[in-house]
Amino acid sequence: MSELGVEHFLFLSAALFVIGMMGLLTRRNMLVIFMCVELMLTAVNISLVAFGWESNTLNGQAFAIFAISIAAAEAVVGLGIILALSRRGKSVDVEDIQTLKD
Amino acid sequence: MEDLLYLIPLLPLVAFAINILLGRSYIRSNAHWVAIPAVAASWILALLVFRDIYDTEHAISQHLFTWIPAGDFVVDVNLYVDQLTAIMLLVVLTVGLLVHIYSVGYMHGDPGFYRFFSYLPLFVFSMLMLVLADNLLVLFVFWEAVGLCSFLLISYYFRRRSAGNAAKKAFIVNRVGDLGFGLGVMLTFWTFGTISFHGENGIFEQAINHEALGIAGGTLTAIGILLFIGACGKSAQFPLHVWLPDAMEGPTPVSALIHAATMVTAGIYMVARNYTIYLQSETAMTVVAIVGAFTAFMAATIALTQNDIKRVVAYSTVSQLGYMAFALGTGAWLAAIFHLMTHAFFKGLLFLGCGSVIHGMHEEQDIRNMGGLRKHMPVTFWTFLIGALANAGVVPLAGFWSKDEIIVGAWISDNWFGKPAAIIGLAAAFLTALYMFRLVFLVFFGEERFDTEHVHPHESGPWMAWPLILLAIPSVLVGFVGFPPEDGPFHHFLHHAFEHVHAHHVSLTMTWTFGIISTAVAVGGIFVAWLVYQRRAVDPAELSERYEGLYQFLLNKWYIDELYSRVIVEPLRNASVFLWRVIDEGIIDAAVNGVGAGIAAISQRVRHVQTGLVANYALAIVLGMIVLVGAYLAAYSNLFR
Amino acid sequence: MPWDVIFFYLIAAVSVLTAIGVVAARNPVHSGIFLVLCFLNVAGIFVMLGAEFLAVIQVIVYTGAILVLVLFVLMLVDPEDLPAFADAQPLQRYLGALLGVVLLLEVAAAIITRTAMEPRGDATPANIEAVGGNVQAVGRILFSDYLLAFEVVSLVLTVGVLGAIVLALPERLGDREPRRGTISLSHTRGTDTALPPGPKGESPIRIDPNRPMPRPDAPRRVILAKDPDERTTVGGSTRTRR
Repeated sequence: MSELGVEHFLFLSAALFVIGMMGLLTRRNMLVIFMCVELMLTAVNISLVAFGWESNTLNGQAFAIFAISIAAAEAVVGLGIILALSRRGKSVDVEDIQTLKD
Repeated sequence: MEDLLYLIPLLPLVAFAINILLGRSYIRSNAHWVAIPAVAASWILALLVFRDIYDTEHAISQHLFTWIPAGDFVVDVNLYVDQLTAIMLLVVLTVGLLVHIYSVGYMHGDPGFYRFFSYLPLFVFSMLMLVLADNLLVLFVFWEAVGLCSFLLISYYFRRRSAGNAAKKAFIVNRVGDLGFGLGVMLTFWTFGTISFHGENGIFEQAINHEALGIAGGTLTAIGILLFIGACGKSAQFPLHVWLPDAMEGPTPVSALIHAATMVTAGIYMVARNYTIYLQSETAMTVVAIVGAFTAFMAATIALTQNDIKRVVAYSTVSQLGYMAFALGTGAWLAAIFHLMTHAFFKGLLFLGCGSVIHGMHEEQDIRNMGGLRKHMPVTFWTFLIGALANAGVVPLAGFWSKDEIIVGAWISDNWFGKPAAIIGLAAAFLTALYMFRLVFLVFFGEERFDTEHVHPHESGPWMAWPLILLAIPSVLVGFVGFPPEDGPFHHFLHHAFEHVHAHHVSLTMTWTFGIISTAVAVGGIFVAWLVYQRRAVDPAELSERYEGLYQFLLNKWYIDELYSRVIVEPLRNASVFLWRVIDEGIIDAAVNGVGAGIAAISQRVRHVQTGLVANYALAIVLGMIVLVGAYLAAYSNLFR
Repeated sequence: MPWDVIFFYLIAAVSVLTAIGVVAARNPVHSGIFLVLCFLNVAGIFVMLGAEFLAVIQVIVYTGAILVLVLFVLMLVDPEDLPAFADAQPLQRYLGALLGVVLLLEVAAAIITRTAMEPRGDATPANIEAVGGNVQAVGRILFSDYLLAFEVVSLVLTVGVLGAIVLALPERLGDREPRRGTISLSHTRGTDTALPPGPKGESPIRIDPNRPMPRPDAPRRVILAKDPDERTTVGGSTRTRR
């Protein structure tokens, strides 16, 4: 523990990912769920960069850049859907989406 | 003639095919114009074959095709005609042709006319192939085929429940006999290595030389008894006789042809054909004789009490078959075949006469409702009387010569049972005369016990009358081919087929003695019948009350049917019901349905996984992911190394 | 203990705590603020890993753009429509926590037992310095090895923008009410003529005797209406419903 190794960052990444996942499964507000998804994506980015750091390559960072870009695009579309939903009068409570029930 | 042998069975087969395929739509009530010429042509060919054999005195055969070429086991279908076959051919085809002609009148107007005239030639074909067969297997095949035709024809009026039941009973009882027959065939093959009758390595040669070949006598006894079990089934010997009286459900021409003249004689023919096997085994012959004698007596006693005209004649058939059987068993081979021939004629005549009476009385069959018919139906009366006299064995009609010869043959037999059999035969002869003339007096004489207002009995038309007349002639005359007894043309002719039989010499005194005894017995029976039924010296109703138990015993056919029902049929049925209810429905169906129900129940539970909530689905995704990660951990990481 | 380790633990602790705050906060706006803080800390982590460009991207794009967008949408969605904080189903809560713990353990096990990678690349700190820094190095690899991905991402972003515009487009400018453009067909008798009559021969719908029934093959009127139920009434009368 005296030297900063990859394991530290990996543990951090795992912790953030798991916290984000628990929020994803637990919260009812669609926007908060979205935020948890972003958290998970960030955790993965940390992990990517850590591996790149360990192996002295820059592939991890490049991957992380693309991940962020795609996350941006996804955020736009997802939030647009949520906006459109709320404009139609439907609620943003996940528990109200039950049309798949038989 | 050898090359044309195949035509004899082929022509009826073709008639069957044409009638069954085209009968319903095109031929319909003209079906007899197809069947009768075919059978007539076969009959003419059979006459030519007979003349051939008579002149040349050796057998002819024709190879048709090889049925089973299986390595060492080769079964050919050959047509083989020796003297025995020639006689059988003539008997089958003569009676068959006359029954065909009779049926035109009897079945007139019946909607299934074409069906009748397709099954009848089919039967003739099967019977012909049976007697022409050269080996046990082909014989067995056509043995079954005649059984099939019997089934089809007994259940001709298939809408009647009783007809269907009778046909089933006939077939099943036959099947029991066929079990024995089949085992016999298998044992034959196993013992002799072949199933062909003739030839150097045929069954007969091997049976004669069985000691030299190392075949045990016990095996031959077993074969003989097993084959005879089959004959019991087919020829209605005790205890497999129960089907024949019920078979009277079929139309009367069927009863005449199949259950009097031909099919039931197949068993007798088969035993006669295999005589070399039986010669080697005195035990088997004794069994045959005992069964035959017992049957002859038993059936005669039952016939005394029956009230259905056809049943009386049916039990008479069973009784006469018993005669033939004990003739075979006591070594009177030629006498048995002689009686087979004469019996075919007069019993066929009697059945056709019954049919004429039934037809004239508008389907009435109970003799208690008849009487005094001789004024209304003269032709029927006179031919029936001739048939009855022949059956009773009154000299000089045909039945006398053959029956007398059987009794003499039994008496002088080497078998210890010969003399008891002869005495039983004489007792049965008395009963035969008695019940036959009971029938004659009750039906044709006396007062008219039917409603004379509404029932007008009429004589039958020419289609029916001429066969009666044509059958009455040989019933009178055919006995003379066996005259003088044991020495007539018949014996000289048939002797060649039974080479290994040592003919016993019968002294003239014995012939005369037994002739007189037989005649006395027969006349005595007729006299008693006349006393009881015509003169009313003793009231039969009072007699039956006095000996109530015996009367009921005889009327109910010795309670044999009831015994079978209790001992065999009911347990089988209960077993079937058990198998059905408990095992099939309870276990198998329950298992199959249970699987379905179980799956339905499971899916009812599993259905609840589909909550429709997205969050639950996210949970499921995460769960799957964790499982995958765990699997990878287990497989690829350093965790477990 | 060296300083970088201390700093790492500090930044990591804050990011984890703020992440927990995201999940646990009642007010979703609070969740958003917590997330911002978390991302800032993550940017710090990136710097520690030598990915300065990425750290800046994280702050500018992720925090500054995406999270701001999220906050705006949070506020656009009518606050009264937000569900009162009610806990999720018990199944979700407990199983979610359990699964989280299990996953954490699994990953921890994987991390602990992993075989370390050798530094096989050539992006040692010295080399990166030689090239001119992290930005130049990332730029080099981005425009050479990952050129195709780069172009595709730009396409994806374009499509995302288009999608956003389409989704957010109001139906009619100036019209506040939700509009739906539908085509309403004027049915004869208001229903399909293929419906069979009832068991006593009655017609499936009540027929207005005053209105003449148009021929089945008559040309149908096409009405453009905002509300699909607006002009389709039984019997075909033109009385609009509100």
